Amino acid sequence: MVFFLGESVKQAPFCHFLKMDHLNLGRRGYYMSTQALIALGVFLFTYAFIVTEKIHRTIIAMCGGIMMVLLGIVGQEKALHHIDFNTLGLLTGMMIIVAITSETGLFKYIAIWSAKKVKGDPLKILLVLGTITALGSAFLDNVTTVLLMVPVTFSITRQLRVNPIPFLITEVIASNIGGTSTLIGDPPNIMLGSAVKELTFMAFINNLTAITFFILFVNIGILAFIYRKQLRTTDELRANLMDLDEKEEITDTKLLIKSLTALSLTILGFFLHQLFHIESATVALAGAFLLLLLTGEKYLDKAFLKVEWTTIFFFIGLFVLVSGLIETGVISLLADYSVHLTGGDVTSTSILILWVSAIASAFIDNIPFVATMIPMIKDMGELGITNLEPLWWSLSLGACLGGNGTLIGASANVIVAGLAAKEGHPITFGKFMLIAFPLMILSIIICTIYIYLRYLI
Amino acid sequence: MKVEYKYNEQFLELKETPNGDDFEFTLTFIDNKWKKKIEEIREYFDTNNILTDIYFYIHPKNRFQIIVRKDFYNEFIIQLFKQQIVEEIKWV
Repeated sequence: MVFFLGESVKQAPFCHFLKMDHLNLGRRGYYMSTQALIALGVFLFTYAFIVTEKIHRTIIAMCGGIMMVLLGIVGQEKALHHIDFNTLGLLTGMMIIVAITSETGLFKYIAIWSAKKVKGDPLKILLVLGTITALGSAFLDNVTTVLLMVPVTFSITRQLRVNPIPFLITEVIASNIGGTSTLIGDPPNIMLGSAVKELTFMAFINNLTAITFFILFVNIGILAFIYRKQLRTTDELRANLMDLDEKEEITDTKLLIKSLTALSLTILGFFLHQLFHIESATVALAGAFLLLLLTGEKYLDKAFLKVEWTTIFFFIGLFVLVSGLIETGVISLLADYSVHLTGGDVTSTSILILWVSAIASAFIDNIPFVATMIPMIKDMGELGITNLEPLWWSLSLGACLGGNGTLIGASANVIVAGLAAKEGHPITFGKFMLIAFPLMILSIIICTIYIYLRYLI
Repeated sequence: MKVEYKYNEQFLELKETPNGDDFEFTLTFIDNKWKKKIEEIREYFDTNNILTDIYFYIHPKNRFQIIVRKDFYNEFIIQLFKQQIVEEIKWV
């Protein structure tokens, strides 16, 4: 076995090639070097640990990434080059903005105000809270959005004495759908927007927002129908809710004005970033530090403590892990094999990506999946598929919406289920899947029709 | 053992009623200078990472509706005492 420290296999002078026909990769004769086999081994080993969730995913991803460097699959310089700082900057910036804005009581205000607007009717509140969650998730991280929505949901449902589970399940599903609609809504989209220059904030708005909101209303409508009998309360309890003073929930008006100013400018920046040739991470970090400039030092420590560093380092580990597959040619080989499988036909490749992404994301973390798929689709472009646009949107829709399939499909699902169980309202894997999996399949059927009609005919 | 408490009826009207398995308190103050104290109690319970221990609802005219889970009853009364909203508590 030969190790090439600090060199990619493409640059290495002596490569041991092993014939891979015995792995059933087709009749074309796919070959993998020893380095590639080691990289694939490290990747699969790491991936297996991420899936089993026995050890925290950040620790495992970082260990996998470090192994790639220690084993000489990628050099440190090259590993750093593969870390997408645009993704990390965008995530960090938005986390800082959300951390400060959440201190103002804005989300509680919006939830109570909306509940009062629909006269305290639980069925309408379900629709409204679902829509608010989706809108929030379109611009904020999904986990943050559900963490802000869950307490206020418990509060409203307790006031009305209705079962909170239908609301929580609706919010989980709405959060994953809403996150699909923009570049900044869900990590897979952030990664896509960062990796592909043409996939700007406006490109996501133009291509995904309308279809995801259509899917949202179909999903919420079905959920409202399923749960309609559980969503009943008395006139007295409704009257009590109508008497609430939502304005009192705003704890700091000055901070609210500063937060909303920074948040509005940041969102405006996302709309215009392509025009000014500025990366999305620059927009998010500019917004975050403008807010810190306005609020002063007292929020600095608090905001940085609330940044999810475990997520940031999970990304770093993954980028290095996948770089091992890129540098040793594994990704190119898989892309070549996929193109061979679909005959290079853009329609079948798109549909395959959409469905495989959705099913895979229902059971495994969509972030490492998308991290692996991005270089693969790029390689497909080099192998002759000229129109990559439907492939990118298929990946985004499949990976983001697939998370709705099971309770472990997305971080927001796991967080809400954990909170609900802790508070005495357990959402079991089976109970969630029974409702969410068919809804996910329905969503992907809608996406298939959309992708086909819009991009493939 | 049960907790018994006393408060000054000149500035506070306090009503305690059972609400399902929980207890519901309605506190109406004569002015809004007590809001800060209620907020401090709310903040105290917000920091314990339990979402369903106590629910605070703010109504107009300095009225606060608070639903307290059975197992947090004593802790809530102690917080009322700490904020000098109730003046006396004792085991009976």
